Amino acid sequence: MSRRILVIEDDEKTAAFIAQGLKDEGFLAETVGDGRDGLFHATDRAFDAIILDRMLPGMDGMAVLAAMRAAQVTTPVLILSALGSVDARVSGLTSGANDYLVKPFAFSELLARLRLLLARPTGGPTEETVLRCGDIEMNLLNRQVRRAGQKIDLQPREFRLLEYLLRHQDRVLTRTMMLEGVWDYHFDPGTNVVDVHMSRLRRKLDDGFDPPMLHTIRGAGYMLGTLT
Amino acid sequence: MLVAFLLIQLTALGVGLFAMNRFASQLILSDSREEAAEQLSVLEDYYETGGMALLQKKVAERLRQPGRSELAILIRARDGTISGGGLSGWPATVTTPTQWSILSVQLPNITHPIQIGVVTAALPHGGAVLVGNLLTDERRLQRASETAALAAIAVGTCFAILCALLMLKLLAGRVDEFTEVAQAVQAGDLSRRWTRSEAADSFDRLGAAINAMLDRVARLVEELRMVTDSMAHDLRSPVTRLKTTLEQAFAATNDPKARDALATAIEESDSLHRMLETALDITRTEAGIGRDQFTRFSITELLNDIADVFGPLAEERGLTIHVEAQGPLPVFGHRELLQRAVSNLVDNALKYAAGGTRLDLSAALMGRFLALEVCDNGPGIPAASREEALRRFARLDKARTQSGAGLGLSLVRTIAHLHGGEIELAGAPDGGLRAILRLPIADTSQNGTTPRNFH
Repeated sequence: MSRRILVIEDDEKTAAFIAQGLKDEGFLAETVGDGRDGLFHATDRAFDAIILDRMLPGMDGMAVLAAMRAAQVTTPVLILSALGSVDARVSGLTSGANDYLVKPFAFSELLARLRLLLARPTGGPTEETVLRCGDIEMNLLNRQVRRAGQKIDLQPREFRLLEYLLRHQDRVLTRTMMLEGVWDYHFDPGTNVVDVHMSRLRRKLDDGFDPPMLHTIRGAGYMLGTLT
Repeated sequence: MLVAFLLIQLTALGVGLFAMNRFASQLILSDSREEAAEQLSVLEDYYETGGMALLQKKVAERLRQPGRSELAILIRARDGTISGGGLSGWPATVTTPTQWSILSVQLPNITHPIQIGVVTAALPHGGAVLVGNLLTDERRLQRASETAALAAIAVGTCFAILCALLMLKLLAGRVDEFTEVAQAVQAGDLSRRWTRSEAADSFDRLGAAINAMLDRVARLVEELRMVTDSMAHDLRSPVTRLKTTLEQAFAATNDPKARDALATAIEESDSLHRMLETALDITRTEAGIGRDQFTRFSITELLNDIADVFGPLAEERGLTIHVEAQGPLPVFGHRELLQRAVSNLVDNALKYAAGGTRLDLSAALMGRFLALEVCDNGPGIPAASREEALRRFARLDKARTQSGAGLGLSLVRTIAHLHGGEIELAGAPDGGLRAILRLPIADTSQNGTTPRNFH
C-alpha cells in the first residue's frame, strides 16, 4: 500500500513540485495551503508523514505542530523553512519536529529524509552488538570490522562513518544528512569534505572485494547496501 | 566621591564657624567701644555745663573711683597741656575726633605691649578729650571663641565623615541597581528592567528613562529579527524555485552539454543560497540573537570533531591536522555557531595555506579567556591585509572563484563578539597565518564543570 503524505505549504509552486515528485516516487500526496486546514487534515486523517512549511498564512507552522502534538498526533513531521539560521532550526526540533530542512532544498534531499522518517522504528532503540550488511560485519564491542572474514583497519572517524552507514543501510543518505548524523554538523561547509571521507572509506571497504557495497547516488548522495 | 563630599561638608562648616567667630569678636569689641563712647559723651556734657574746670574735676574723681571700666581718660587743653590719667601722653597716631581706634601701648609696669581701644572728641574751644578702654579681656574672650570654633571643627569633621560615608552608601546602593540592569542587558538579557521605587526622586526619573530606552532597544531588536526573517523568506523562496526549475530541467534532458550547464547553474544557486544564509547569520549574530541558545560544552570535543570532519580533505591537500587541548575545556556558548566559527577558520586555512604542511588546532586557558587557535605554516596573510580580511565581503585574492568566501571570517568575528570575545589574525612564527579566537570564561563555579556533561 502506498504511503500517504500530507504537504502543508502555501507556496503553490513549491507545493506542486513536492507533490509531483512524491507521486513520481509512488507516494500518495495531498497538499493544503493554509495552516488551519493543515491542522484539520493532520488531526482528522491518518497520514504516514507530514511535510510542514514553517511560515503559513492563517496559522503559523510551529503553532500547527504544537497543536498537533498537543492533540496526541504522533505522525512524523518534517519542517520546511526559509529560516535557515541555527536558532530557528534548533527551536523547530525542540518543539516536536522530527526533521528540519532549509529552503532551498534539492528534492532528492527531501526524499532521502522522508524515507528515513518513514523507516523510523516505533519501539525503543535495541542494543545491538554486531551490525551487518552483506558480507560486512562490524563488532561494536571490540570495534573490529571484517569483510568476507577479512579484517579491515579503520581509523576511529572511518569507523564512526561506517557505523552510521550500516545503521541506515539500503537508504539514500545525502551529504548533509551524514554531516548531521555522524558529526552533529548543521551547516554546509561548502567544500567536498564528505566526498573525501567516502572515497577513503570506499578504498578500504570495496577495493579487492566484490560486489561493491558503497554506492554514489548521482545528484543525491550515497548508499551502503547490496544493490538489487 | 567620598573626598568630594567631605570637602563640600567641611567647607560649609568652616565658612559657618569663621563667620560666627568674626561676628562674636565684632560684638565683643563693639560693646567695649560703646562703653567708651558713652563715657566720652558724659564728659562732653560736663564740659558744656561747667567748662574745663568741672570737666577736670569730674575726670579726677572718676580716675580715683575703684572698679571703673575705662583704662585712661585724657584732657588736652587749648594750649596743649595734658591732664587726666591712665596713659603717659596723648597718643601720636590718634586724630581728633575718632570713633574707635585700636592701638598698642607700652605701660610702665607691664613688660609687653597691651592693646587699647580709644575714642576721642574735640571740645568747643579748641581742646580735646580721650577715653581709652583696655582690650585684654575682650581679646581673651575672642581667643576662647576661636578655640571653641576649632573644637567645633574637629567634632564637625567626624560627623561630616560619618554623614559622607552614610550618604555614599545610600547613593552607591541606588546606582548599583542601574549597574546590575546595564550588565544584565549587556550580557544579552534584553527583558531586564529597573524596578521602580516609590520615591519620586531623580533616581526614579532616571530609572523610568532607562526602562523606556531599553523598551525601545528591545523593540528594535525584535523588528530586526522580523525583518531578517522575512527577508530570508522573501529571498529564499525565489532561490528555491530557481533550483527546483533547474533540477527539473536537469532530469528532463539527456543532452550532455545541457546537463553540464544545468549542473553548474545548480551549484551556483547553492552558492547564492549559502552566501545569503551567511550574510543573514552575520546580521542576526550581530544583533545578539542566539544568546538564549547558549549551553555548556567541551571545546576539546568540538576541536576533535572538526579535525575529524576536515581531516581527510586536509590530507588530500598535503596538510596534517593536529589538535592540542588539555582536559575538556568547558565553555558556555553557542555550540553550533562556535563550531561554525572554527570550521570557517579551518576552511580558510585550507583555502589559503597552499604549500603548507601543518594545520594546528589548539585551545588553552589564558587567565579569564579561553584562547582558541588555528595556525598553519602556509604563506599567511600580510600584516597590512589582516584587518581587511575580517571585513564583510572582503576578498583578498581577487582571482578566487569560491562564492561567499568573503563572508567567512566576518562571520567568525561576529560570533566572537556574540560571546564577548575577539578574533585576531597574526603571523605564525614560521610564516603562516595564526587566527586566535579569545572567548571570556564565564564563572564556572555556578554551572559546574562536572564531567557528566561530556561523554
